[in-house]
Amino acid sequence: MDEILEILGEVKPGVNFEGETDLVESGILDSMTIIQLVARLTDEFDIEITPLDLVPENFNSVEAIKALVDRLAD
Amino acid sequence: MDKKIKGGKLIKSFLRGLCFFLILAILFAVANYLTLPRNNTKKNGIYNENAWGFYTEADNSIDTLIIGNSDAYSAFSPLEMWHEYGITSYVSGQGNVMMAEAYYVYLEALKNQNPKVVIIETDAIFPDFSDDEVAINTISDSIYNMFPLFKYHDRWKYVTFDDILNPPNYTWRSYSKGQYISTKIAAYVPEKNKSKENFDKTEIDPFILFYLDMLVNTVRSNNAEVLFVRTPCDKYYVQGKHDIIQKYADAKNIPFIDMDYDTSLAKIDWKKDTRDRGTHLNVDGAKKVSLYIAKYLIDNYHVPDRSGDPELKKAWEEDYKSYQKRVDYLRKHPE
Amino acid sequence: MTYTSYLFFFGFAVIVFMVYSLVPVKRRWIVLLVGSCLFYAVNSGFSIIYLAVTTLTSFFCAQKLTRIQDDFKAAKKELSKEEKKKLKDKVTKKKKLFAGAAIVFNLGILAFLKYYNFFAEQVTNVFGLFHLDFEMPLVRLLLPLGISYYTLQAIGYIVDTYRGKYKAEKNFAKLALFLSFFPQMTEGPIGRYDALMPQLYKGHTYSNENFTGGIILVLWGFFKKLVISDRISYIVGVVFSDYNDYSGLLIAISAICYTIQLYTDFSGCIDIMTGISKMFGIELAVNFRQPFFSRSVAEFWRRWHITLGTWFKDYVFYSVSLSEPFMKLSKTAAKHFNKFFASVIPSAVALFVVWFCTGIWHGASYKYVAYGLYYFLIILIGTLLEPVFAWLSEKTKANRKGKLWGTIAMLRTLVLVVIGMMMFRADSLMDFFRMFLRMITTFDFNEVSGGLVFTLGTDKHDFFIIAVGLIIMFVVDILKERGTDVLSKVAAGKIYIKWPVMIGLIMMIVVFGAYGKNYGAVDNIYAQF
Repeated sequence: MDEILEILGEVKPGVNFEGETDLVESGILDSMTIIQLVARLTDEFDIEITPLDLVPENFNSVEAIKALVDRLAD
Repeated sequence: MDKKIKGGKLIKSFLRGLCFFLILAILFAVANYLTLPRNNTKKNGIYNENAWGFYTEADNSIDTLIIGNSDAYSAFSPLEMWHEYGITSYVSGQGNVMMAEAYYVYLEALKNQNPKVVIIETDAIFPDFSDDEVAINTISDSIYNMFPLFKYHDRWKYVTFDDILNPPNYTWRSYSKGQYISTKIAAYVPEKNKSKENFDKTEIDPFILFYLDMLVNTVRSNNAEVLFVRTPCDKYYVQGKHDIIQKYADAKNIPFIDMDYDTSLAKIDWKKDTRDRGTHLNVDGAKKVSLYIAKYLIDNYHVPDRSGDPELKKAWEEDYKSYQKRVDYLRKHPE
Repeated sequence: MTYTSYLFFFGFAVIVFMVYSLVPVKRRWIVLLVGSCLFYAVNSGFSIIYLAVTTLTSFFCAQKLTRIQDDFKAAKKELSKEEKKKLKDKVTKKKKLFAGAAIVFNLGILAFLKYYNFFAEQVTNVFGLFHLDFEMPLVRLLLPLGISYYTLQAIGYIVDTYRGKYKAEKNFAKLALFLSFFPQMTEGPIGRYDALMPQLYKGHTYSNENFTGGIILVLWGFFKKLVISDRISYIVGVVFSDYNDYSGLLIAISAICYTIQLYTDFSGCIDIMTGISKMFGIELAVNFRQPFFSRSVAEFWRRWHITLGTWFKDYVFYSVSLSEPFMKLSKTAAKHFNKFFASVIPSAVALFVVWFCTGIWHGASYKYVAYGLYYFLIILIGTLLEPVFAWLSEKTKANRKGKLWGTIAMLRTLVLVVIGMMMFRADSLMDFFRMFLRMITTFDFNEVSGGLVFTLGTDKHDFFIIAVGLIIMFVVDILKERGTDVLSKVAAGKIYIKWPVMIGLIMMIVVFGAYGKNYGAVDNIYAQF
């Protein structure tokens, strides 16, 4: 969790991510930042994220991102 | 029970729809009245006002109505016909006219005229448009004339309060009786300039044919005669067009004078009688064509000499003078 | 297409609708298919071959992809982890081959038809530079109706089956309907198989709300196109073709006018098509979401021509940036740069690809390439400077979410967009540069105060009507922005609300529409792409 928050803070500084539930729809995470995020996540957790995973539901909150990472790490 | 309710519902929604269109129709009628041109001038929204000048001619004074496109208003000179033979005519020509529009022009003319002969300038049978354009233009012209609101809707720009209170009052006259007066000379050299278009049609476009039939039938039902004339235009003469029109004319028993097919009729001098290198005639060409046709009308249709009517004579002579003045002026001040 | 074509189109749709309502619910989708094929054949005749070829190739390719995937799933159950991975690599390679071939083939058709002549001219010019007398022959190519739209739909469908998002369509006729659905053939929107197909296939029963809702949308679209767009097009045409005769102020005005023209033309057409589909009970993808309320250029593109933007995002941007070489690039970057740049560089490259493609999708011309790159640069700079902005606002305690900042950001975005539109409309890239230079270096207020602006084909009365139309549109859009969809509300409302709106729209269109003998019909801008 903290690791993800740290990465989020790097790709998108100045945002308080905790508690946010519509990061994508509200435009905080646009496709550019999502790709940066994905690159970092892939590297950090050694997972493979495919285009199919790139839907708003997987990135709308820190919890959702965590769930995605956990699911792919299996 | 169920069915009854359903039936009732159907009737209800039908009545509803009817109501909707009724309200719409009333509003259309109001808008139609508000935007209707108050006078028959260009400023009042009349498009090609020259073609609609018959409103202000004395009632039933026009014995011959000439309908067609730019070839018609360039090649016919009603005042030369009057001056030489005392016969009365009017040219309702509009550039690139659709047969549908021509048909409605005739219907409009019937409001205060009763022509005995209607001449159709046959270039309008093959307008310079693609098939799709002919279809679209024909349909829109029909709609414009059936519902003038669509034609004149743009007049919302100029409607004044006075207009709304006063009914339309047509005052504008075309002293040239619809003719386009040009004294310009731009020679056409037939040998070098033969720019014959590709022509691969074997029959008249159905949209044209529909209104041509209507026009011919309506003229005949008014006890008037139809005459087809192709005014000289060697530049665009195509044998194929002639054959198709001749076939139609034969089937309908309409005389067809093709001045390109028989160039001896008008004896056009292409060095002097055209204003734009063979596309249209100037006043000199028009005079030749008109005098030939006038003679033909007298010989074959017994179109009367109206110069015995003093009131008519006075008005027409005045117009003839204006016409001559204009011609003289243009010759002295070439554009 | 001109408004007359739309009238015919609408008439055609009404006939299809009547047949649709008469046929048993289960078979209604067949009416749509026959109607769509008829529409295409009547409009384009022989060109329907192109559509057929694209449908065939994507149909069989997708089937193959699903079969390979299914075989793999069946086989992998009995394999060890190691073997699984090996087989998966093999399978992926095979899938790539098939999907790649189909995509290259279909894209090739589009590219050849769209860019061959431009390419040939450039080659001839290059030879000319070296004084070589070589002329690459030009071919008279006619772009088949809707090819820029249905090709993208087909590719999206292939990629989605490749990715395993859904299984391939088993019924050829159904896929053919998805690719040829007639309301989407002129200007999109670019539909997605998983969103559209179930709706097309399902037989919808008549619903009063859908029907009136559809009609109101159609009227709204005609209102935008005829009352605003076609009326404003005259001044735009005059100033853009003779920009040297006018000074900066007038050029700026005409650029704004063009922005209005393009929006009302394009979104009006989409409204008409969406309305027609709605009559049948089918919801097309949303293509515009009040784009002019955007606070950044990136946001503008998420709200303007949405289906094109999301198509490029899903099928180009994600494909490129998640591909192996790019992942490697980002790892190398991470070693050499700081973390921020390391993450920006790969997405910047992917972004470049997207905007380059977006640019040339509009046509073979340097100005469209420049148009794409213009937006690429703006968005890239925005991203690069984001940390600076964040730092600045923290320092100055400026509230970036506040109203004032929001308005400023909106205006800034608007200025950037209008400049982009100017490039889009200019006759060539050079013309744009000259025009832009003129715009910022010459100034003559007299052109406006002296009334010259009203003599360029769009007179005082016209501007008045345009202003009224824009105000109506603005109110509707701002309400929608705040969550109230006025048009749907009206459609669902009582007669005393519904009828005045419908009748009002009809009367506005009939009386104030720019149609008839005094106006030439104006072709739809996005139908040529």
